[in-house]
Amino acid sequence: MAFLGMLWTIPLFPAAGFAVNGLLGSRVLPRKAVGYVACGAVLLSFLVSLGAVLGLGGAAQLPAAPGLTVDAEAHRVTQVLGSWMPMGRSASGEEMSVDWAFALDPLSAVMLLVVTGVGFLIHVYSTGYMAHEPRPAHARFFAYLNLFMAMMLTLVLGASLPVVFVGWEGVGLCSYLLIGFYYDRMFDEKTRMSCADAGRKAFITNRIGDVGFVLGMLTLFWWTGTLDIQGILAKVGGLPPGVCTAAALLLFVGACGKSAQIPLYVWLPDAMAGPTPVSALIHAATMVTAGVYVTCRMAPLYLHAPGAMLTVAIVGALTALFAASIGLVQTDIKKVLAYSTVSQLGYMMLAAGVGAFSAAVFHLMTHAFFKALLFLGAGSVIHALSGEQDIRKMGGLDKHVPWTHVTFVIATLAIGGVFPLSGFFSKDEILWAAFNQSPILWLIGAVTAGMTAFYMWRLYTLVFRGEERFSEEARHHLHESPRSMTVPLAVLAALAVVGGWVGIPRVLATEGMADRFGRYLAPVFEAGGAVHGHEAVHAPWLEIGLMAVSLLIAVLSGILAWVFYERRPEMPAMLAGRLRGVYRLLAEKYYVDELYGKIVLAPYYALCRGAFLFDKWVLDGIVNAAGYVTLATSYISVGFDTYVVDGLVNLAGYTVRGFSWMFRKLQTGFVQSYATAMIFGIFVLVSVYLLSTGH
Amino acid sequence: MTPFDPNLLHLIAPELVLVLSAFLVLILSSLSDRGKATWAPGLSFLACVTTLVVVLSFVWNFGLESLRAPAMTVGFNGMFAVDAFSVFFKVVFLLAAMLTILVSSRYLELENANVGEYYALILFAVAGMMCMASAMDLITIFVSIETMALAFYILVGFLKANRKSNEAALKYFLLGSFSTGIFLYGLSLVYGTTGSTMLSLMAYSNAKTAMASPDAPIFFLGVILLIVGLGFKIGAVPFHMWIPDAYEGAPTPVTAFLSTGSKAAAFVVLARMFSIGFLSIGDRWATLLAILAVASMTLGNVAAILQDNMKRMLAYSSIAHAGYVLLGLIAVGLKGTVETREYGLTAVLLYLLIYTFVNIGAFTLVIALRREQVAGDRVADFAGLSRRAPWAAFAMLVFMLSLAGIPATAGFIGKWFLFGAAIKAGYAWLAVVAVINSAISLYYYIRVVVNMYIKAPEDAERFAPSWGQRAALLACIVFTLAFGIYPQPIISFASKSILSLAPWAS
Amino acid sequence: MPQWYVDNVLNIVTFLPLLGALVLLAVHKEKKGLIMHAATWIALADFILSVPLFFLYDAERGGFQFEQRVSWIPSIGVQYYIGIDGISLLLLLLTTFLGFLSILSSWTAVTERVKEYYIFMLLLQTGMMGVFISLDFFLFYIFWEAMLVPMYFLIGIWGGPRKLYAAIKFFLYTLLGSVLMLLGILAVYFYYPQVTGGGYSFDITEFIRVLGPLNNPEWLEMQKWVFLAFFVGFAIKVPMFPFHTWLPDAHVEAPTAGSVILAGVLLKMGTYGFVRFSLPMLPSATKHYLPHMLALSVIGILYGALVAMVQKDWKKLVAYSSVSHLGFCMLGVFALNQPGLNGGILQMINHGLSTGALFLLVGLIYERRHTRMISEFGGLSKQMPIYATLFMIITMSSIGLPTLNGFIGEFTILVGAYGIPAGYGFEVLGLHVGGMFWVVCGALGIVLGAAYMLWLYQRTMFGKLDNPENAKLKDLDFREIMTLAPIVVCCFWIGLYPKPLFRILEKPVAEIAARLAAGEAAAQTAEAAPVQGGAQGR
Repeated sequence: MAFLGMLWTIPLFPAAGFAVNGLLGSRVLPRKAVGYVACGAVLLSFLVSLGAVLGLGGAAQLPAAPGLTVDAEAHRVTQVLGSWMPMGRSASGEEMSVDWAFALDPLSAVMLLVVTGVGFLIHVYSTGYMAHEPRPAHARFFAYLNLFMAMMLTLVLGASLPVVFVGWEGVGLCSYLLIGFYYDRMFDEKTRMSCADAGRKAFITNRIGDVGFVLGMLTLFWWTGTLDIQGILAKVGGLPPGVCTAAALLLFVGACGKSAQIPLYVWLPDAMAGPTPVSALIHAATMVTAGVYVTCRMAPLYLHAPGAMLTVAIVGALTALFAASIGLVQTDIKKVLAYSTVSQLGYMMLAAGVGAFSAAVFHLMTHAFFKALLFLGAGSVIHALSGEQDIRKMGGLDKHVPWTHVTFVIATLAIGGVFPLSGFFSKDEILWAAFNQSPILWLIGAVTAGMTAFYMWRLYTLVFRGEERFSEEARHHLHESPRSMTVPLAVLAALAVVGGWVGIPRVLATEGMADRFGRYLAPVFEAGGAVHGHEAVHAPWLEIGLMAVSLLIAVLSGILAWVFYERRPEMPAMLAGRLRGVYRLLAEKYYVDELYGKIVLAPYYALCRGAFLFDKWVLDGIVNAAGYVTLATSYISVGFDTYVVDGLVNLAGYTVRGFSWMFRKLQTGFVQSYATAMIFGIFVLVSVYLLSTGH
Repeated sequence: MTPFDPNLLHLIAPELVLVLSAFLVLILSSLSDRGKATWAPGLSFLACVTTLVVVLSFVWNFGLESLRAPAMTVGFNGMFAVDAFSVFFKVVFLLAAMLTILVSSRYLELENANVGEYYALILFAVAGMMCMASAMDLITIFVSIETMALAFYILVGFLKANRKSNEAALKYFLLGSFSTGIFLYGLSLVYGTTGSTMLSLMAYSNAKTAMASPDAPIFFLGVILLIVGLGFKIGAVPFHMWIPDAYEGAPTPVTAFLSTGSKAAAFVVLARMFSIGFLSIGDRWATLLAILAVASMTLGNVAAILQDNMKRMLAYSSIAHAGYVLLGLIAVGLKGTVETREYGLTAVLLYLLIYTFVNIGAFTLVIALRREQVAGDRVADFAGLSRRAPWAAFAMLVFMLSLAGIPATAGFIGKWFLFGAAIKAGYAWLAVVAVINSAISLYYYIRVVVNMYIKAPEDAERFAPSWGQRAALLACIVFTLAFGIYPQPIISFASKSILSLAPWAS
Repeated sequence: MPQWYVDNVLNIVTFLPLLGALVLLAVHKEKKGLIMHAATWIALADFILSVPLFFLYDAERGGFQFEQRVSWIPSIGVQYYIGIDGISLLLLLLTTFLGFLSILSSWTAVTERVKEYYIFMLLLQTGMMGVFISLDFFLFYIFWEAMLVPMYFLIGIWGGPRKLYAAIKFFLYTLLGSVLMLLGILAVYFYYPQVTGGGYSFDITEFIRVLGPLNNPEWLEMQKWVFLAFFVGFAIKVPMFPFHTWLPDAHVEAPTAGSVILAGVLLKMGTYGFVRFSLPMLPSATKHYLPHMLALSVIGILYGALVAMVQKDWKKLVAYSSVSHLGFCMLGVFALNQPGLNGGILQMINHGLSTGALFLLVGLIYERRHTRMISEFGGLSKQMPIYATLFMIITMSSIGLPTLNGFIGEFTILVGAYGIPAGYGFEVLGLHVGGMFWVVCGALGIVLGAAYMLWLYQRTMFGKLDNPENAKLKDLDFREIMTLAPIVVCCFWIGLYPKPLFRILEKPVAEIAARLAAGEAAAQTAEAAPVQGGAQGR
């Protein structure tokens, strides 16, 4: 129970770790200590989270401590730390202010455990993976990683949208810093993209999303008068549907940015420029799911905006299919996984879009397990091959890196959706919910599932089986990764296996076992009246049939991949030759980046240059012109004075001077004296005149 | 015609003192051998001080406010008045003269023209101005104007060796006499139509009747001619052509005196004539003056931008300032409230007083820069002055800012009043023109500052002004800053002085 | 707190620098070290003396406090009348704070004509603070213009290659604005007695009290002209588009400290002018011109950001970013509601801090490399990690990252901008541009801001350290860190716990907002503004 009062410490531990490593790491602390500090901080917040989550069950009985409020039937604990932004009153006179407040409910509990748990494992893994980094970079890496944890936890725990936004932007910053971690390296020779570019691309793309997010916040703020999430959700019922739809869509724009949905997904594949653990933690397991999380968080809002829901579902489905198709032909091990991530995120959005929020969160969790595992495995492979990432230069690694191999297989099975691994349950729940919405969505999902299985097995085969295609000196360094990396792999593998068992569909389990996960989250979503995948339609055999189908698809495409890349390695090339157009289109990722370059970036830069020219020549031009005009008039007037007027005067002057010259010849003495005499005379006259008037 | 009453002499006592001392100087200088007249400045300065004392004695006796009752102030059948208004200007003239005398001697030595006549002439000029201040009658006005003018014709050409000086004198003389003719013609026309030379008489009846009667156009032509004549004296565009050359050619101290004293004198006549004599047709001449004002401000400032010679630059700037001052008179002319008129007149007086000190201060530095073989009147001569003589540079900075009307200097107070008068009189557009002009003017004033503070010095020659110049400089800088920050005394001095001139108020 | 101090605190804080400048006059100009330290200590003392104001000011009571009223030029009704409310309090503190830091930052930057330099810096301090504490229009105007002179010299003497051009441009442009404002002041000054029937006065509080709610057609008409006169004066200072072109030149040529003060405090005078005078005194005119004001504000935001994107000169980029940020301030102010005003004023402070820091950072590099061309740099973060870290923090603060001050300002402004009545806008090609439009444009500024700042950061800090010149750059020393650390601390403070500032602003802002709301009745003409605006918009 006591842990519930310590919610605020959960983000604080990593923050402290960031401070310590950031200030002392590069100079004072020894390399090992940096690792311990980083991992320790995360471990602490994991333990506190665990305590808090366990305490949440009994929250109903908990007497409300100061700053701590409990909502029993929603299983929510809220902790208000203090007022943050008291912005004054609106025109209608209501107080507009925002508090620093954290809230823990089943939804954030799940996120909390996933983030801290997986986060901790990845921190441990990183100590091994980054062991060879030079000292300052090493400390910098862990500092950033801890900062990320702090921000992610703030995002998860935030009780009001601005606090969520703090985390939202914070993780964006960390992602930017970590993608650009090797800021002096080139990431993609072909497009001349440096790691720094990739980082910037990520940040800017996310910012575009954030505009939507902010506007969404503002809309809700002005219509509900509060930014506290529960406060908003309590009032959405009363809002005009148009407002709900607008707000929901705007928030979804933000979610598209973070969770890499069409059209804002482009940054995620390039985010692979970062070190592999970063890809695992930020760009697979946690940050990228923030969009899904917020969407689920605002579930009641979306439920009042069917239009928005449909949009979310469609965008999710399309993203899933689109990204998966690109994933089929990628040759960079991390790129494959990246597109797979985008596709899986699409899955989650699809789920949220069809109202199966718990299914979305469920998949979010399982995906966190197996995708983190895949990335870490990939990292281990890259590590083993001293930096090689091209799967065409791998193969036959199974005997060299046994641990990595085994865990990778498990992960592949899991993501492939093979019974009874975690991926199967979560994916199936989504598909079922999608089917209830519309068979088309189900079809898209199923096809995507097939593609997923295919490219995963392709990846697996190319990396671990077949003959060894890597270079000699790569072989020379070839080695299994250290314990610090393999242990996290093992743990994640275990999770990838059993992770799904908390969400076994009703048709396959006894009442007690079935769908624990959904029931745990129920207070969050059913409060908002969310539909729930498994209650919707009572057609057990249909459901089982669909499961079988999706499973079949997965297995078949898996086998297909195996045949392609192990039995008949010449076939892919042949196929590619046969369908050159399609192949190129996929390999070039549908030319989306090029398209954006043409329709967004180029006009933008043109606009910038145009504006600058306008500034320089028009605006400043006018100012300077005013100056020149003044000068010109000056020349004219002076010229007039000197040449015209004075000309005449001088003329007269010279003639007279001529005479006076003659006079001077005759007379002696000075003009002055005469003149003085004259004045003397004048004075006499004046005085006489004045006096004489008397008479 | 009341019989001549010797007691009336006390009215012209200051003028008498001054003129007598002028003769004294003249005679002594003719006795002493030329060029050795080291005593002359002292003596003439003393004369001015004495005169000042005499002038102020009126104030002390009767108090400034009470110097308005005609019975007490007006004499010689209303031709000559010693009212508060005239007192104010007499003070201004005397102060200007004293400053001029202070800064002259070293300069004249360098020009080896250090003779008594010079100072005598200055005193005569001042006497003329003082009569102008007191003149209540067209005849008196004309005579006193000529007195002043003749003195200046000679002073401008005082450097016989200097070709420029002679040329300037000739030009000034020719144009001056030309304008005198015009002025005289104007006088005669006005006299012919109103049948009186008395401003006070014109004030109410005659001017009106003149306007009513069929010969109104003639009367009005007369007024216009008077404006032309006085416009020449104040150097308003388009009667300004003599100004740049005369100012440049004349000995710098004379220029200083010319640009302040004679300008103020011309304004005193303008003010008296138009705010008493022709008040009934105020709205008409107000528009005329408005035209002159706009032209003077604009052309003066614009033309000043190009000048590389300090004296020419300040000449053009003085044209512009004449334009500003006209704003005050315009406010008087309009059929505005009593308050507006008083405000306008106050502005005029205030500005002329301030301008006198600031401008003479600026010229003093030009004078002080005069050295053997160095004219010291180019803007470039100020280069690096802040390094050579920080205090002098600071003084010049203050004067330039004051001329530009930057706050915390006296110049700002003056401009404040003038622009205020324009706004109050409802002449907003005129005020806009004026402020834009004052912004333009900053450009050439700041050029001097740039030279002093930012350009490197051309020579390391020590800057050593004479004690007289130091004293004058100190007086001007103190005045500019002190009254820039606490203008209350001069404001009340001015606002009280105008009451005597305000028949509408009495 | 001794009572005498509480009574005279404003005078002490304002005129201490002036006093110091006079003292420095006495020091021989070769004693550079002495002058330098003396100036620094004076500035520090001034800052320390100003801090208690923050606690002494009674935010509950609100209104003007620490007032002092002495008759000065009775014959035209000028008083020496000073006092501060929450708004001027914050700006005053900002001034003393940045003043100290900029002087501290000049130790190594300024080596010739040291004496004059520090004297001008101190004079500038007094001038700027005077503007913020004046409650008498005459006094205000004196400080407002007198302060141009030292700034002119700072740019003109210690500036870069085109310093003369930049300096005179700055001086003339701003002077032109302020003389026109002077006419506005005169108009109000002469109109006031006609209303009260009493004597002349320059008492701003009186003007606001009497003229603000005044509702007769003559005055309502006159307001518009006065507003325009003020607008020219303030908008040039802010600077609002399209009056901003003096800013880049002035910034690029000015010495570091000059730029810091210019961006940090001088520009705020314009925004302050709007808040202090235009809004409460001319409510109906404000509403009448609101669409135009909003348009200029958002144009400023976007335009500044666009132009900044293509700058090759580091300092010029920051200068244009100022245009964008000040656009934000104006957007908030002209939202005319409490959140908007709060945000606008807060953003003034934030901009002062973050942009001030940015100029300091540029200056530090310029001292080392004597160039500001961005292309000259790259990969510095390897060479100067501390610098890079501070630069990153400030960058984030300037692009409005939450937990840093920039976000608080921008978010609050946007909240306010969202509340702009839909009426205020233009009819462009038949469709109504306004209401939502403004806030959307403002929000876009967030993206563009990030775009150019990160691009700058990447080009200078990231990439390979390939220029040998940069390979031997030294990282910041203690003094240099000390010039930046306080700002960073403030950035975090405002970002995490801005409540104290909001509290101080609460009452004054509420009052202004109330006046504008009350002016509603008086502003029938203004209500018609969108239509007229539309007419002009077409």
